[in-house]
Order: sequence, then structure tokens, then C-alpha cells
Amino acid sequence: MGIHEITLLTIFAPLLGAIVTGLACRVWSNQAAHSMTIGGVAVGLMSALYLAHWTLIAHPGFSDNWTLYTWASYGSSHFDVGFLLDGLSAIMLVVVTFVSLLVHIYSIGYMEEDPGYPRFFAYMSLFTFAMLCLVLGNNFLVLFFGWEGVGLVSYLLIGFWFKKDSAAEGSLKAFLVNRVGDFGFLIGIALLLSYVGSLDYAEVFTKAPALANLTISVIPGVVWSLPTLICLMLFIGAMGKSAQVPLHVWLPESMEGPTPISALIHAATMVTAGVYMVARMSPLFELSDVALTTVMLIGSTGALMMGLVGIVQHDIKRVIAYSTMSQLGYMMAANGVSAYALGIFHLTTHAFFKALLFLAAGSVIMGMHHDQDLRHMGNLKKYMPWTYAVFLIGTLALVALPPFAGYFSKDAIIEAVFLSTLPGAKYAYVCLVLGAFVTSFYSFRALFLAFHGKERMSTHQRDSLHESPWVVRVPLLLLALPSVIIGAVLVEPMVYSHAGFLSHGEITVLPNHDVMTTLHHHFDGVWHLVEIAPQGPAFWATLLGLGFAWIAYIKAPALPNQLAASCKVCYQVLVQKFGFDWFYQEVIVKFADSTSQVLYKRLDMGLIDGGIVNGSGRMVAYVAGLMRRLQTGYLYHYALIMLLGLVAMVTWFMLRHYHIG
Amino acid sequence: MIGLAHYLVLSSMLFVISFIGIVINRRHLIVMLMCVEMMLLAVNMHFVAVSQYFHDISGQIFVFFILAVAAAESAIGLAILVLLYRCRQTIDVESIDQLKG
Amino acid sequence: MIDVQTLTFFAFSGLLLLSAGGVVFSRHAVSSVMFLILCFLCSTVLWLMLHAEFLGLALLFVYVGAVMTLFLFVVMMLNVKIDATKARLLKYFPFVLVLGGGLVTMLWLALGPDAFSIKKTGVLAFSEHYNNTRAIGEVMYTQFVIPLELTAGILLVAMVAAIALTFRGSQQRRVQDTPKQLMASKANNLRIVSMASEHEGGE
Repeated sequence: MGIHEITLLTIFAPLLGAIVTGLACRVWSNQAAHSMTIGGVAVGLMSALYLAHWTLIAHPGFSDNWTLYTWASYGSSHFDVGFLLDGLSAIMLVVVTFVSLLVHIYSIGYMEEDPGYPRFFAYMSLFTFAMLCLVLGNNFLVLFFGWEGVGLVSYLLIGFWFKKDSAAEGSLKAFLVNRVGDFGFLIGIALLLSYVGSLDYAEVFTKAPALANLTISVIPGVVWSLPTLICLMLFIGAMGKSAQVPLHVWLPESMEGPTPISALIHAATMVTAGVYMVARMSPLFELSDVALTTVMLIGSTGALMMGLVGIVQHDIKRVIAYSTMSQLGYMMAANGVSAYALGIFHLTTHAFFKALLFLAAGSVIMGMHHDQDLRHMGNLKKYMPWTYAVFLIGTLALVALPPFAGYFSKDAIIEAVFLSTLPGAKYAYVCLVLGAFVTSFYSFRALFLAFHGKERMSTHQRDSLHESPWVVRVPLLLLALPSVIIGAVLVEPMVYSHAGFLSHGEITVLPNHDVMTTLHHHFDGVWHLVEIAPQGPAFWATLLGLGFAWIAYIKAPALPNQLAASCKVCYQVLVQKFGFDWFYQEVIVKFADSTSQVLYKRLDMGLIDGGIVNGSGRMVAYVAGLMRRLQTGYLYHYALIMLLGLVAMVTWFMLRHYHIG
Repeated sequence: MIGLAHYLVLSSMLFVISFIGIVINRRHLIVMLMCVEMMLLAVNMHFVAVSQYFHDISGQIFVFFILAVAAAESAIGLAILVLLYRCRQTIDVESIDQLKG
Repeated sequence: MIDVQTLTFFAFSGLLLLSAGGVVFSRHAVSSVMFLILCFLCSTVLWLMLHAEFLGLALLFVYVGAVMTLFLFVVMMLNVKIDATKARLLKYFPFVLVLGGGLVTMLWLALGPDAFSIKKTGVLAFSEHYNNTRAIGEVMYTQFVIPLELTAGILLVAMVAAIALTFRGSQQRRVQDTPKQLMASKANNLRIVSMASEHEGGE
């Protein structure tokens, strides 16, 4: 088998599993369903590992850009289904299939008693397929297909328990907010198609420098730089998909879905699609300082703000969800300062430890009988030692204490932002350092509230508290391992090496944005990185956060409430999540609603229904009332009309013959 | 000498007379059928005259077919007429106005 | 000097038009039929003058012999008496006359001497050995054989249709009429009369 066949195998094995299971979901047993889908994803993982080995280690710099078939073509433009295998997509491949496989296995335990069991597995495999399309596509069409595909599955899975109102609403919200992002994304793609004439990455990137000086005037009189507009539009898509401020509001609602989904889609893979996309589009983003600055500012703002909101959440999954948004902010900030490799690196490490945290939280939730409220937990480490251990590892990785995975990526991002010369980089730097403190605070808060302190659960819950079964624990352990070591292992090849995974043209960085080169100078081996950790502010911010959390939730548990009472305004701002939801609900939704009401009542019911639809009916009836008088029923009247017609026709012929013809 | 124009004008006049017959006839449905036969005769005369003057025999073949079809038409027409009379006891053109709107 | 042919043509064409008017205007349907027969006879003469002997005779046999007999038969059978009031007949007559006159005028312009004068079309000329029946037959049974067969089919269908339409079922046999039986209802067959009760015997 050649590389092409293996690529196809990677993509289509999960799809096959999804289709077969999806079609047979009413007849098959649970066991058949999960065997089929897990088999498909396992094949995907195997081939993905082979491809990654081939691309990253055996043939560094290998790039395979090919077209499977042409879907449509007009003029010189053509829409292909094609795939691009290079370092960037190889990394993503492994991340996606690895996390997906573990989540599949984990779901055997988590979804055990759910009536929608086969459907759930079919959706997950379908998601894997769509995500693989997204990362492997060699043009915007396939990217968009995957983009919408993962969006669709996300919608289906958030609303998996569709009988629950909050789940149905959450899925709708996710779908609608993503539509806003996708709208921008589509405009970006359309702009590229109209100015470049192609959707192919290679062609677009080759021709991209020529776009640099073009301008476009959307509103007459206002002239915009074309690359800036394109990049901003693409970034709006990324904002929707990757839950960046202000299109982040759907991600907390997505926690209504089953926990494995939160781990797979809303933490590890799908939400990072925006980060991947921006990194993939680096040749375009490099052309526009404005776009890069926007990416950086929005990313860093989100990193801080969402972390702050996470502090006041009581739902264990929502805490992790806000942490996800915060970490996505870090990735975007890295992209913004042109440290795309760092963004992808953080994406990779984050995928492992965030999936771990979510799955561990899922394990807690199972133990607690689907009670997700942190206020009902406490001292769970006594009952669930394994879960506690992996949750602790996940937390340590998340707060970026060396030598856990998160440290290598997050610390480097903060340093890269420090080195950036973009306007606003100082602000971003402050945000990110504060973000490190906040991250540490809310992470340890969740850890302490859940696993330490007093036991606050009901006696009924306590009596049935138990460690999760092996089928749940094994994936946790398999994720805990990379959460510890993957940073140390990958940091050199992915970030600091000149012949690394992403230094063969996968990513384009213009010299004036190149913060990575400076970073390279500081690099002196992995252990040196760990040793210099105390020199950076982020390390101390993290420890500070740990200390605060310890004081507030173990030493003096009354303190948080006192603080909340003493600063009601701050607390309310955080509880209201900075008012984004309020704004959308009260301003945008109400405006849309009242406008639609007017359109519905006046335009649709009044003009169209009353005037055009019923009016035309009435008009027909009226005209027919007039016409029926012509229908006398007498033969000779019809004959007379025929005679008139004949005379008219002959007259016309004669006139034409004598005068015109 | 008699030319083609004589025949053509003659048949045109025959056609118009029979058409007028259809339009002004108020009494007998059967007379209408007869007028239709006359119109067909006028058309046939056109065909025959032109065919003979221009030496193209297919015009007369056409007349042959028209004759056959006209015979069929009058047979069925008369059958319907008989049925109509059986149902309504009249074939007065004025009283047949079921299609009146 | 008018030659015999011209004289014959005008005589018969005049007769043709007059009898056509007779068909339209005569009071009785029977006389209409008679006028129509006269029409066909005149036409036959005119067609014979055109050397279209086959069609002329076919017209005579088919129409006068069969179709017109049928018409006459139907008219006689129905024997409809409709009082023809002249007023109704002439209500639209002037208007129709104008229309018809205009149409004839225009057809005259289109088909008359201007377009098809003798100079342009020549006179009717055939060789001595011209055989109209043979000429038609040669074409009809070679080139037009399929339409011919189709025509035969049409005639057959018309015959069957005419019979099917008018056939009323056997008049002699006593047969059940199932639809009629099914449609029988109390309302049609039973009449309830209210009357004073009758006592048996006397007081």
C-alpha cells in the first residue's frame, strides 16, 4: 500500500464504522456497535501513526499533496477532493485519532446504560471522519466540508440527550453561534476564490504575496487591505469554531452533551480546528499585521477573561470548559505572534491533558451519579484514588508546572508574546501572565473542592461512591502518560529544532514577525528549560494561584464567600460571564425577534399571504367571474370566436404581405 | 379559360358560406354537422385544384385521407347526436348549453 | 366567346354556391340534406373538370351514397320539429355577413387572380394517356401504404365506436340490471300513506 492508500484508510475507516453502526444502530447490540466503531478508529490510529512516522521521522519534510477526484470545475477553477499530508497534518492526525480512540473506549463504560449507545458511537466515528477531512484537506473546500461536518456532529452530540430541554437549547445555541462564525469563514473563502481563482492551498499560498498590496472597498469610501479582510473573515470562522471572545458563548452550553464528547470534541479536537486553520493559513496571516494583532489580542483577552469566569463556576465540567476557552486563547495568542509552531504544540499537549481532565471529571460524575456540582463533592480522593491521581496529573499539566506537558508549551507561548513586536503585545503578555495565575487558581480550586476538604455529598451518594471500572480507567491512564511526558518529548522537534516537524515549509513566518528564532537562542536542552522555569513570571504566578487556592479552599473555606460578599460587583460580573450572554439575549436576539415579528406579521402575513398569495387567488376568482360570462355554452358562439380569430389571422397575414413583408 | 384562381376563390367562398352557416344556425345540430362536411369539401377542392394544376399527386392522396376521416367523423358525430336526442329529447342548438359558465 | 368549359364551370360553381346557401338557410333539415347532396354533385362535376376522376367519383359514392344517406336517415329518424323563427336566425346575420365578406375579400386577394392567374399557373394540361386513378394508385400503394392502413384502422374504430355508442342492448331478452337493483331504495319503491285505521267487522 502506498501513502495515498494509507491516507484514505485513515480517513475512511472511521467513516465506514460510523455508517455501518449508524445504519444498524436499531438492530445491533451495544457490543457490536462499539466493536465496529472502535475497530474503525483503531485502524485509523494505526495508519495515522504509520503516516506520522513516515512524514515526521522517516522522511522529514515529506509533503504529499494529491487529488482524489474532481468534484466540479468551471472555467479555470476546479473543486477537488484532495489531501495534503505534511508535518502539520500528521501531528493533527495522531492527536485526533489517539484521543478519539481512547474516548471511544472510555465511552464503553461511561455510556453503558444509555439507550442511544450505538447512535453515540456512530456519531463519534463520524466526528472522527469529519475532523480527519478537516486536517487532511488540501483545499478550502475539503476544509470547509470537515469544518461543517464536525459542527454538525457537535450539534448532534450536544443535543444527544435531546429530551432534556437544556441539551436541545445548548445544541441550538452552539449551532447558531457557529453559523455566525461560518458566515465569516465562507466570505473569506469566497474572497480568496474571487481574487485568487482557486481554492487549493498550494495555489493560494503561491499567489498570496501578490495580494499583499491589493485593497478592497466594501463600504464605498472605506478602503481595506485585501489580505487583512480575508484573514479577519477567516478568523471569524476560527472564532466561532474555537470559541474565542466574543463567539465563545456556545462552548459552556455544549457541556450539556455527554462527558466523553466534551472531552473529544469540545476540548481536545474540534475546538482546536480554528487554531489549526490559522496555523495552516500562516502564509495569508503573515501578510497582515492587523489580522495578526487581532488574533493575538482576542486570544489573550479570552485567555484571561474566560479563566476568570471559570473561578466562579460550580459545575465541574463548566470549570473545565472555561479552562478550555482560556487555553484556546493561549493558542490563538501564539498564532497571533506568528509562533504557529507553539500554537500547534500547545494544541497537542492540551489535547492530551484536557481530554484527561474531562474524562477524569466524567469518572467523578459517574461516581457521583451524574451530579456535576462541585459543592456536593469533597474528599473524593478517599473513594476514587485512581481518578484523583489522573486528575491531579491533568491539573498539574494544565497549570503548566514543570516538567508536565503544559509547561513546555504554555511557558514558551508567554515568552513568545513577550518577544513580539506587534502593537498590543505588552497587553497580551500581561493578560497571559495573569491568565497563568487564574488558570492555576481555578484548576486547583476544582481539584481541592472535588477531591479534598470536607465530604459534602448526600449520604446516599456517599454510600454508592465507587471507583470507575477498568474500561474507564485504562483510557485515563493512557492519557495521563502523555500528559506528563509529551511536552518534554516533543518540545525539541516541534518547537526548537531547525529540522523539526514544522520547519519544512508547513508554516510560513516572515522575518519581521519571527519570534521563534529568538526563542531558539535561549534553548539549551529540555532539562535546561525546566531549570530556568523559576526565572519566568508565569511560574511564580502559577505557584501564587496554587497558594491562593489552597488558602481559600482548604485552609479557610469561608474565605471565598466573604470575598464574594465584599465585592459583589466583581462577583456578579464574573457570574454573569461579563454579560456576553445577556448582551446577545437582550440586544441581538430581541432585535432579531422584533424585526422578525414585524416581517412576519406585516410583510409575510400581510403583504405576501394577504396580498400576493390570497390576492392572486382572489384576482383569479374575480377574472374568472368575468370570463365565465364569455362561456355561454352555445356552439355558435364558440364558432363565432373561431371565425373572428380566423379573420384576424388572415388579416394579419395579408397586412404583413402588403405592407411589412 | 378557367385557371387555378377560379377554383381557389370558389372553394374559399364555399368555406366562408359554410362557416357562416355554423355561426348563424340556431336550430338543428345536424345542420351544423352538414356545414362541417361542406367546409371539408371546400378544403378538399383546394387540394384537388392545386394538386392538378401543379401536377403533384400527393395532394389528392391527402384528399382521399380527408374523405375517409370525414366519413368516420360524421358516423361518430351522428351517433353522438342520436344519443343526445335520446337523453334530452331535443337537438335544438339553443338548448344545448351545459358548458355555460 | 365563352367556351364550353368556362360555361360549365360557372354554371356548376354557381349552382354549388346556391345549394350551399340552401343548406344553410333552408327551413327543414331534410331539404338541407338534399341541398348538401346537390353540393356534392356539383363538386363532383367540378372535380371531373379538373381531371380528378377518381376522387370525384369517390366523393359521389362515399358521400352521396353512404354518408348523406346516413344523414338523411338520422334526420328522418329523429324527425325533430323545431319552429324556426327568422328573427333568431338573423340576429347576428349582418355582423356575420360583414365578417364573411371581409374574409372572402381577403382570400380573393390572397388566392385570386393576382396570385394564381392563368399566366402564372398555366392551364390544365395533361397528356392523352393520363390516367388519374392509376396515378393515385401508384403512389397510394407504395409511398402511402402505411397511412392507408392507418386510415382503414380509423374507419374500423369509428364503426365500432358508433355502434358502441348507440347500441342499447338486446331489446328482447329479459336480463337483470344490476346497477338498477343496487340503486333501489325504500324511497323509490315504498310509499307510506297515512290513513284512518279500519276496524274489522262492525261495532
